[in-house]
Amino acid sequence: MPIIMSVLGFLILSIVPAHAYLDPGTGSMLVQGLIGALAIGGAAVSGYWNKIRWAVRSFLGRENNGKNGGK
Amino acid sequence: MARMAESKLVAAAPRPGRVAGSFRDPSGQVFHFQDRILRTMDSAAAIEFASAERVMRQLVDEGRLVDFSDAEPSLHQLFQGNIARVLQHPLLEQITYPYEWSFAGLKAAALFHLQLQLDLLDQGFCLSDATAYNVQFEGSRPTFIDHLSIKPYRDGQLWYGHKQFCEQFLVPLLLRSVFDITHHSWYRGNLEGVPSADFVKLLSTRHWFSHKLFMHIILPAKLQSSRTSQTKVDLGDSRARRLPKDAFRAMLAQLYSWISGLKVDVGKQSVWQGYAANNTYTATQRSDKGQYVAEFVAQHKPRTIIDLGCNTGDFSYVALENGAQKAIGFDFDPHALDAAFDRSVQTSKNFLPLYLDARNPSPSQGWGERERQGFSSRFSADAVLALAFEHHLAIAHNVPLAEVVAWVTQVAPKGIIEFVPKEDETVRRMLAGREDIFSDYNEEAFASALSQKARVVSKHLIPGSKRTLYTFERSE
Repeated sequence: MPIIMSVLGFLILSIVPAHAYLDPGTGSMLVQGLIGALAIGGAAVSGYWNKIRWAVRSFLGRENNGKNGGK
Repeated sequence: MARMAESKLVAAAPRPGRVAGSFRDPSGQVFHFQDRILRTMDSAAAIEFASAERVMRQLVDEGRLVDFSDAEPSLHQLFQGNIARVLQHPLLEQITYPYEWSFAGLKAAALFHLQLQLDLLDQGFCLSDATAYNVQFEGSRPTFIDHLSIKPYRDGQLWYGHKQFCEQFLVPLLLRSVFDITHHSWYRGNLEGVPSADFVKLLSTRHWFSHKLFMHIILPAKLQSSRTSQTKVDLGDSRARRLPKDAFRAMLAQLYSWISGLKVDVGKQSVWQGYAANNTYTATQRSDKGQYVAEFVAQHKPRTIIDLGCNTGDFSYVALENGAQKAIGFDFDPHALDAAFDRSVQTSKNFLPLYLDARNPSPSQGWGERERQGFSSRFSADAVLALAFEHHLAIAHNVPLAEVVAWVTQVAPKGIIEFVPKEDETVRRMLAGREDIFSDYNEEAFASALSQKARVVSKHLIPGSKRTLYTFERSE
């Protein structure tokens, strides 16, 4: 929990809207900032993820080839 | 000349009364004037409205938004201040509140709101808030009533209505689907829905593992102090943070799919659903009763009907099939209400089932005790059906019989009330475990009380039972 708190500590509220008679709740806005960050980060993350998957697959494939005499 | 005459007429007309619930948005308010609703806009709101007008017109054509047109220019003089534009809307025949809707109704309203947001987002617009009071029903069909909350979407803006959506739609639904607690009492008491912060206190540790609960309810509530908007976390520097459009859309879609799947546990079938299936009536008796109602409707031709103790709406449907245009049903059994709402959706009839505890109808409340109007201010009809109803108040809840009769006859100028005597099996069961203090509960007393308030037009003993249907008509 403290980790999440400190991570979110660096996330910010967006500019306040012009006609904000509605109280949006700063908790909600912080979480949306987090969602946004993850969403933007998501594209970069998935790039690495594909690399990881390829590496794992090729590692497992070499293992199988060795055991089954290459199939 | 003609214009002068017209504006004199306008000046002489009663002033428009501002709708008591319309005060939060300073850029525009809503007024009740003669047979219409008038909506004022300041210059900034008028500019935004103009940009969204085409989209709104399309929503009206789809039946998702109340119709609008420009009010005659002479009406502008009725208002003070910076009024750039005045719209007029047809008066909605019925205003209902989220705390009266069934679970199924609230769910339908939530899905409607989310779908509206998604469709607006595709066109470059969004809703500036997410209050459930902006959704109204015609039968079981939801419609949107707040034109000024449709605003241009600024790329990357946060969803400012998220907290309000959660508290006014999502959490009340979760209260029922997670804990089987109906939302009516809490929602009516709190008016602005059920606070996430309170709901979180009910959750146990295992709920924290639900990523949806965690993201939408637990985390935002924990990050925010309960009484103010202040966060508990130091925010550091203030670079602006964005919510990309795709992420916003994904949030809305996720909520849509989540809410679609919310269900009520119907394992223990309620007393009343069982009632509809195997109650103290035989099939013959039920069709006899239905016949009586059908004849009443055919003869008196009420356009609108209120059905007290409607259960799944059987007799409302009899009325609708015999000439009535609109029926509102009231019941306090949540399972019956959900089944009634689903039935209304399936049949597309103008039947809206709502929650009512007749011992405790909703009062006028909110700001100035007027913001949200009470039951008797909002609900009236051409005719009322009170079938298998009065004994629940008079016996089960000790309301004096004469007062029950008086209350029912106030709901509509004519109708049918069924008297259920002590010899009846249901009343016998009610009295089984308790002392019979109802010495004055009998048919003579009932008939006498009814005659005090209205003319008894006819009566009919249901064959094979001791229950009697009384048709009354108030003379005024």
